[in-house]
Amino acid sequence: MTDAPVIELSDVTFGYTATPVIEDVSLAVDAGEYVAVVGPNGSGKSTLMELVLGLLRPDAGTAELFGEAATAFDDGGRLGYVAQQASASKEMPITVREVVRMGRYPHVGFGRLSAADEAAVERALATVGMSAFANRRITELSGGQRQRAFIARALAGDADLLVLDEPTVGVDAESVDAFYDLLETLHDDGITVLLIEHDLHAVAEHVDRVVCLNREVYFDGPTSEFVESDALARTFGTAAVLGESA
Amino acid sequence: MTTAAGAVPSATVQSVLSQSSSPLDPVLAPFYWLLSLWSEFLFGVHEATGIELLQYAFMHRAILVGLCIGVMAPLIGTFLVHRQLALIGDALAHTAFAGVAIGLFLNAVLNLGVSPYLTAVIVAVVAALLIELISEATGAYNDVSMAIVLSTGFALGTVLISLNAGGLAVGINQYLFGNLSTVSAENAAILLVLFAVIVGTVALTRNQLLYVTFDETAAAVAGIDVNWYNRVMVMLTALVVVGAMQIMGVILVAAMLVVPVAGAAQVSRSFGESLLVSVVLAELAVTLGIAASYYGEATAGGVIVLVAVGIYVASVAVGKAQDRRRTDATPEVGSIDETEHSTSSD
Repeated sequence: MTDAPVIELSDVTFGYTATPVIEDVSLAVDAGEYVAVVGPNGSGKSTLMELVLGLLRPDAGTAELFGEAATAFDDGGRLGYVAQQASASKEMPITVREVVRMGRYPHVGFGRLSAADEAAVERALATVGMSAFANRRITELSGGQRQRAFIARALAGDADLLVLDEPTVGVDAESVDAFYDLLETLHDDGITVLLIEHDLHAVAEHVDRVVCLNREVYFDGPTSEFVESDALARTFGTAAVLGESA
Repeated sequence: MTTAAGAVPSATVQSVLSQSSSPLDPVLAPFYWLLSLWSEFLFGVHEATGIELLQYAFMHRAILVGLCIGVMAPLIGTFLVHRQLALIGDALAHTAFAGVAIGLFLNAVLNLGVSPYLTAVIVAVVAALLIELISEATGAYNDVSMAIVLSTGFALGTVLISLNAGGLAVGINQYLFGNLSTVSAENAAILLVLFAVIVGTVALTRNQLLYVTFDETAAAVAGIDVNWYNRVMVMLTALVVVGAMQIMGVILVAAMLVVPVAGAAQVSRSFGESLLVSVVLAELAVTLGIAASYYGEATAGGVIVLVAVGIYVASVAVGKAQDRRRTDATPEVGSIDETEHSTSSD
């Protein structure tokens, strides 16, 4: 355990054009935290995530992962990433196990997976309850099952930071609950979770800390305070977003 | 049918070597030696079996080139098709044609005596890098830029050829449509070099190529230099295209990158299986196609592609039948806690 936060953004500004998408954003996430970033469409959530992962370089400010500049961070095994939908083509024949094995690639480089690597793959499959699906084509799975497989890929790599970009879009309600239960279990095991999420109900129910983003940070604090604060209205421009569930 | 069968083996090495007097000879010498071994082996097969087409040294080279194409084209094609980059093979083949024209032009003007396939390799690799750099700058591969590269290459080729029409028009068909009988020892040896480079590179970087093919963003997060591997992939594509051009021709070469892969995707469960099946299907198409074109006296490239398409149609049918047979009892998604504790104990 190092003292540096797992994620640390300091006064980060970034824009694809002259207009910044993210402006003066500071955010520190410590080991073991479970944090959700919420905001309306176009609020810069996904951009923030890409800055955190080092896929984008800030125009101003610094982005660090585990105390190193995010763009220079090269210990890929420590990062687990789950996208909204996998970018693979629908016809690609690839099994769940083959996808999960990718989690070990940062550890083996050009080499082959050892018996220990394969054991880590099987363990990760079991952790997310997908062992029975290991030889299924990934395209045959439901949305919820597929996202579990991607979590397993992160676990196989021994990730200690899990970054998820709206992982439950297109996933049926029952599977969404199971998915959040899984995240909670992993969080209990000590994995740091950063969740980019549009589903405010899920956030209110499951997450410890909320960051409300719309180009800049409007709120950053415990979920209980978030639900009662006026941050929602200021971020989303309406007070009715959580109205039904609050 | 057994014309000079006994005398041929000893003549093989000489006939292999006597065809070429290129500046590359010292470099290619070990590959000429391999070619002569291969040729002796096939003469042996001819003597034992009496298969007619095996009595000609040029067919030995054509078969070897075909077998190599049957491995390397689907090997690279699998990565391209699943990234929906099937068109890139076509674009590079047409720029390779410009490379051939430049080679013929230089040979005619400067009398260099270099195989036009070598200049084709250089031009195609440069074009491949250009396509990749454009895509990196614009953030996406787009069919417009590929169409522009394709047309530019072909236009440049035709202009160069027409400028020298007197001396160069002869033999252009062999590059456009491919030709079994014009695979020289030098070109076969160049192909063996390309084959070694391609198979070696894929064997070394298979993890990275698969990850980038499946999910570019996740691969980048995992610390893989995505742009670098994309460049490797397009350059390997350029090498495959030029290598396969000899018997497939510019116009049909891209089919070998795509059709066997598409067939394999229909019947395979896993990525590993699809790689293997695509190679098997491609080899089937190549061997059946070469034999059919020899006996039917038709253009090899065209026949091979027709056979490959036939195999693809059959694969679709088999794939559908497999799907129907699989009345899958969907397994239960395991519970999270129990499974974790039961497996993490070992």
